[in-house]
Amino acid sequence: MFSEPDEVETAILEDFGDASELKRLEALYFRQQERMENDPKVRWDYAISLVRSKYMADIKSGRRMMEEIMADPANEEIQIDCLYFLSLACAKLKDYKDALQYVRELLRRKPNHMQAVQLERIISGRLEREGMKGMAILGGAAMGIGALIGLGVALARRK
Amino acid sequence: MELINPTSVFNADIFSSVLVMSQVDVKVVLLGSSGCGKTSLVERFLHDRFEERYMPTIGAAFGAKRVKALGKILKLGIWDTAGQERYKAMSRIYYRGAKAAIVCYDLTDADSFREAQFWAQELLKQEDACKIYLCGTKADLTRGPEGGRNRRVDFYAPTDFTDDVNAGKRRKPHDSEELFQAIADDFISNPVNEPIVQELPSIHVGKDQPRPSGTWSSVCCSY
Ligand SMILES: Nc1nc2c(ncn2[C@@H]2O[C@H](COP(=O)(O)OP(=O)(O)OP(=O)(O)O)[C@@H](O)[C@H]2O)c(=O)[nH]1
Ligand SMILES: [Mg+2]
Repeated sequence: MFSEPDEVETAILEDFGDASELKRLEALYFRQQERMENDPKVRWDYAISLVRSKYMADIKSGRRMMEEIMADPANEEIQIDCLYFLSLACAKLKDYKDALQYVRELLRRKPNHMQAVQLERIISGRLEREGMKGMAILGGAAMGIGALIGLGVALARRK
Repeated sequence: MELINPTSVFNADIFSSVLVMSQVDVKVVLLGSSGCGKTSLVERFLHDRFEERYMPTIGAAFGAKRVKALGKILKLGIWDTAGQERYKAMSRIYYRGAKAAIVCYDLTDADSFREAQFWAQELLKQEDACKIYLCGTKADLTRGPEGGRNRRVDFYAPTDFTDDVNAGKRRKPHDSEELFQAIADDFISNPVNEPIVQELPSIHVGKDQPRPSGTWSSVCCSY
């Protein structure tokens, strides 16, 4: 059998943030944008809230914002944090290949980073399970066709 | 590779039962200033290891462990929050629904004690059902002939303080294992949790007595 999701996996991937907090930060962020202000703290809090949302559209926006934050040379010291949230965002979006790339880049920079090791394990497990599901579909289809042919043969013989 | 039954892979019931199985019984949260030793405390308990290098927690880390307490087995789900300023707003969310909070401060850092006070007061205001365990860390640095000078939090400060928050008793220093054990014992013996406790699987030991909670100090590296 494929490995079951354990409580760690569930906790990490379904650690949803607070919806009203997201709304509040969103309003704050866009008000600032209108005024051409740019408080990095508001941007950061908003980006995290998006990544921690339950909804795919939010997580996608969160991923984009995190990429921007990471690319900004002013944020040199939070690159590790950005890589972690990027990997988490991709994992939640079921984009496991990119998720793995981000977390492996983190581990390249910080070997043995415990949260990254844990996240990498979760993503690898998911990838493996996806692969097995795919094979199960193929296998199931093949079995179905095989069964039909067998049935056809049986019916033909009966005549 | 083993064979998979393709129908069971898509059976929604299997996934939902897995979800139920993977739930934790008791949520425990760790709060406290950056670098005060929260992650070290948890790592010691979960994996019995100690990391010399400081790797700040990102957002919040999660770990789970089964413990035996008073004839029952329960699973603790531990949220270890990040103390860094940029995560402060986020950490406030993690204590929601927690049955126990370990509020840590570094015995060699007076600021960290002030921050612990902030968290304890916050918990008192927001989370009625959450028991507070105040925990002074890095006790090893305050021992020995040189150690006394390192101590920055008055010996009585936490006792004075816990009397306000949790009617705590002072206890001798001990390790993280005992702290989490006490949390489990307290949870089981609290009548409020009776309905949950009844559902928990039993073991046939159950001679150990519950311990009072209160102020703790921990040494992660020397135990
Ligand atoms: N001497 C000594 N050092 C400790 C002890 N506990 C933790 N440390 C060290 O203190 C540093 C910070 O420990 P962490 O456990 O990562 O601190 P934290 O509270 O999780 O920090 P944040 O994740 O930023 O909130 C690390 O270098 C640890 O090795 C202790 O009991 N004694
Ligand atoms: Mg930490």
